[in-house]
Amino acid sequence: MTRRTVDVAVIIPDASPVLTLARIDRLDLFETFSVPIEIVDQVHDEITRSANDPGGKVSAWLLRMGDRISIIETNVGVGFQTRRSRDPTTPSGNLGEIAVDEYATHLALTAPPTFVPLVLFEDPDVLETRIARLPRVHLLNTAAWIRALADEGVIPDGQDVLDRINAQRKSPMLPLERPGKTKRVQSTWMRKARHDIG
Amino acid sequence: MTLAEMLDKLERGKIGHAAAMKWLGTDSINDLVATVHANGRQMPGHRATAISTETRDILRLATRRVGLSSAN
Repeated sequence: MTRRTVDVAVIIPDASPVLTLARIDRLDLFETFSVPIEIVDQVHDEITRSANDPGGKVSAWLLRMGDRISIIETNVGVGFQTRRSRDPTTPSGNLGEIAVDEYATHLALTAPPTFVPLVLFEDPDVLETRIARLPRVHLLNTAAWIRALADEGVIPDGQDVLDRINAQRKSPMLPLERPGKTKRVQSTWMRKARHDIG
Repeated sequence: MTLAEMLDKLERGKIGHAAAMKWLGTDSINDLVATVHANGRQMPGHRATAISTETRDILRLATRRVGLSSAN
């Protein structure tokens, strides 16, 4: 039998999944990922901004995670830092989304056919961006991720986590996922990939 | 009885659909289900929308069981 591995990476294209879990003190859930987690520099800037991370929980979590989280440098992020060094009041606007688009373009051009992006998001606008159109991309929001972790027995308190998230929201976060499109590819590489685990 | 109390009783099976619909003043089961879901609850005996096999498969590939600290 031919064996084929897949390279899964978690990409977090908006600040919300991190900030949501920081609010309920459950950033530790990211430790369940055994694959790299990638955050573009502009989103990193958003999640560590003092207004969004007043207690420094996110910064401490990033330190703790070490190289399990890759901060992806983009021209958008570097450009923003340059402009902000000249004028600290420079607004970041929607640069996070543009930086993610830049990274998605890079992946579309350079990622090997074994690369599987697992996109963890909350902002529905992500579904309209380039990263949502990458080949083999799987998209899921925080609620769907937590429910899947509970279904798989990885965490025992999935419902409690969801209840705590929803207690901080005006309306409940409903699980949302969009699995990779190509059934044929999935059924082939998933089965083969499982042989390569452990 | 508040809406939250009514939904809690319905979810735990303490009252039935008919009583819940009467409380809401609707004769539509769809309206009842929509209200239950909009408030982050499930109909009694129902499970939330299942996460797809494909997503569970990929999470199995990308996840490990660790002792979580939940203190961060």
